[in-house]
Amino acid sequence: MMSFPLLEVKDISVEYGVDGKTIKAVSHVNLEINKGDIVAIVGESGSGKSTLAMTFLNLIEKPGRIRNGKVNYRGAKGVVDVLRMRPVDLMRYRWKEVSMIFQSAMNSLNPVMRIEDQLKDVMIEHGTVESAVDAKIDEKLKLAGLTTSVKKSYPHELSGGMKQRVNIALALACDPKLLIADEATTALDVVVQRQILTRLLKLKQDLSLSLVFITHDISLVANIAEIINVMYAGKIVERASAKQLFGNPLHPYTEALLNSIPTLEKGTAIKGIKGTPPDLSKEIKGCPFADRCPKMYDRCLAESPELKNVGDNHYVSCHLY
Amino acid sequence: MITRRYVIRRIIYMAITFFVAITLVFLLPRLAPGNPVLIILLTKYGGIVKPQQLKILESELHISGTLWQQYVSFWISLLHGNFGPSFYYYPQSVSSLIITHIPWTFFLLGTSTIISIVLGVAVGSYSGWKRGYSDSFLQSFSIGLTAVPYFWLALIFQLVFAVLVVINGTHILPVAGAYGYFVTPGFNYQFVISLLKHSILPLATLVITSFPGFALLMRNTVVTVLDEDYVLQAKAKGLSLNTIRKSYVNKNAILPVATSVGLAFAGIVGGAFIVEEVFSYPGIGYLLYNAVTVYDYPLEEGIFLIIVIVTILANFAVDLLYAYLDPRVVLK
Ligand SMILES: Nc1ncnc2c1ncn2[C@@H]1O[C@H](COP(=O)(O)OP(=O)(O)O)[C@@H](O)[C@H]1O
Ligand code: SF4
Ligand SMILES: [Mg+2]
Repeated sequence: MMSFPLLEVKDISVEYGVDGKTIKAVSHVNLEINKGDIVAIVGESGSGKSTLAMTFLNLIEKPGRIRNGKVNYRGAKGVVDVLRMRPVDLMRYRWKEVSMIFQSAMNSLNPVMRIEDQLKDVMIEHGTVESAVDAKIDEKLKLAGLTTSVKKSYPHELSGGMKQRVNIALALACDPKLLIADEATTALDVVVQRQILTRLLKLKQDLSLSLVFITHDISLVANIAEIINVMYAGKIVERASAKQLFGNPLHPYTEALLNSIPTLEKGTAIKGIKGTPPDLSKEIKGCPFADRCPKMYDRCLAESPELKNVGDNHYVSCHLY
Repeated sequence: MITRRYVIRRIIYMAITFFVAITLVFLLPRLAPGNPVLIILLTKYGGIVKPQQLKILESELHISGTLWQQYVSFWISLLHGNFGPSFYYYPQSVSSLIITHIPWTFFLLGTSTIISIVLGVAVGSYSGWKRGYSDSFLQSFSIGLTAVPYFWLALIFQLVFAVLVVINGTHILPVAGAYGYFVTPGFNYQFVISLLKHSILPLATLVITSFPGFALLMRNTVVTVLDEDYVLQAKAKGLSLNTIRKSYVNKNAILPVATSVGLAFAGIVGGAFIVEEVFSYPGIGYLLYNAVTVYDYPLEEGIFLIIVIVTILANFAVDLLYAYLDPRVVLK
């Protein structure tokens, strides 16, 4: 059976204008998220993961702007382009259809509002009747693994892990179809990281959510994601199932990422990738990874590689294939 | 959050501050040159007095004996709520003078402070939210107005609205005082109208000179808060702009403004006094000005004490308000 994507990103490009320079944060990205999928987006910091995720909610603000592309969402009334919605429709779409746990989650809660009020306002806005709100708040907090006593708290009274759980509860507040988790575990210690991750996966199962999991840490997604997108310099450079990607990485950047995972044999010394990502405010001719790539050859400098299917839905953007 | 320990400690501090302030209030006028008793006698009795009369007056006014004796008797009458008689308005007591004048000051000060804060917050919030053209206008307007001294604006207003411009043979607004000569104070239509008319210029002077400071501060904090992650998240939640503005932006942006009210209070009191003087508005500022010109020590002391008490209490109130507005503030 052919499954239509829930969310389909088409040829999207986003740039930021700062100090007279134009930073091409996301360039011509295509992506599909099917119902029930767990899709991971991995890549070093600055590769454009958050910017890409922000377009799913049409949340790019000054100094950013979307240059071209579409974000097609399949809702109850058919397919709509999120980037061209009327403001009222966009308000209804946000959080009700797609919600997000932000990378800056520790600062994403309003410091002067009680937790329950921050859950309540969004529920009311999206049509929950006043009398049902209390029960729903309790339900969401429990789903996120919190006791209902945090309702009356203010954000500063909670630990990092608890704040992150509140953000999860918030993200679930309006029963969305798709949840984006942007570095949802990054700021937390390892034990809490595990708990949050497990919680997200369980929720995905129980609530039949689709999940976009964004992280700079490729080792996190091995056992989680069905499809992994590797991002580099604003582009997706490889896309494959977790099995294929870990078993048979094709792109030299993916290889480098996998090699940088500390293992018991290699010791825990962190082995980063040599060199730095390219300056996104400059025109890049050829492959963006060229100056860090051990397999670089003359064609790489002259021509920019396209993302292509090399069989079995394994996509890579590299002249070697 | 406010603990009981905090309140107790704060009250002790306030008591110490009062004690020091009272002592200063006692000392300062006595260190100034000039003999008040002679002044009273010269102005009131044409200088023809017997030495005994002088003695009686001195003792009744707590200015006989050594400084130390004066200080003790000063405290004793203070504890009886008795500031003694005024020199100048003798035999009227200082307390009764203050009680009849202070409502006018409270009216002027309270009304203008509330209007200034509300107006400042509204204008600043709008301007910070909208940015662009109206924002640049507000900024230059506010900075310009902040630089205008109270008395200058008061005089200009007086000149324009109460002296120069005449419509249908009358001035637009009264030039001075708190109500008209021919109205009877009380709850009657004429009195209330007269009261309002007389308060327009003093209030306008105070509001126009103090609201821009609040507006500018509010505008700047709104701009900062708009960049906060919780505002982005509020937008992602699909909340209406109205909700975002009220519950997310303004609720946070108002906190520094609340702090500034406490700091600005002393300045506003000073401004109100100057304005009272210019418009002969019968508050305690006007009374103080008269007291100073005629060396009316007891009256000066009484008024200074009231100012100190009101300022300290106002600061305490602002701190409590701040703790109420910002749940992160713990007063303990
Ligand atoms: N608000 C912004 N203003 C200017 N540049 C930005 C902004 N947000 C992101 N960028 C730039 O866009 C690029 C991609 O950033 P981001 O999407 O945050 O990447 P990631 O999430 O992968 O770390 C980076 O070069 C970053 O400096
Ligand atoms: S295209 Fe060339 S430079 Fe780019 S990753 Fe492939 S081999 Fe390396
Ligand atoms: Mg990011």
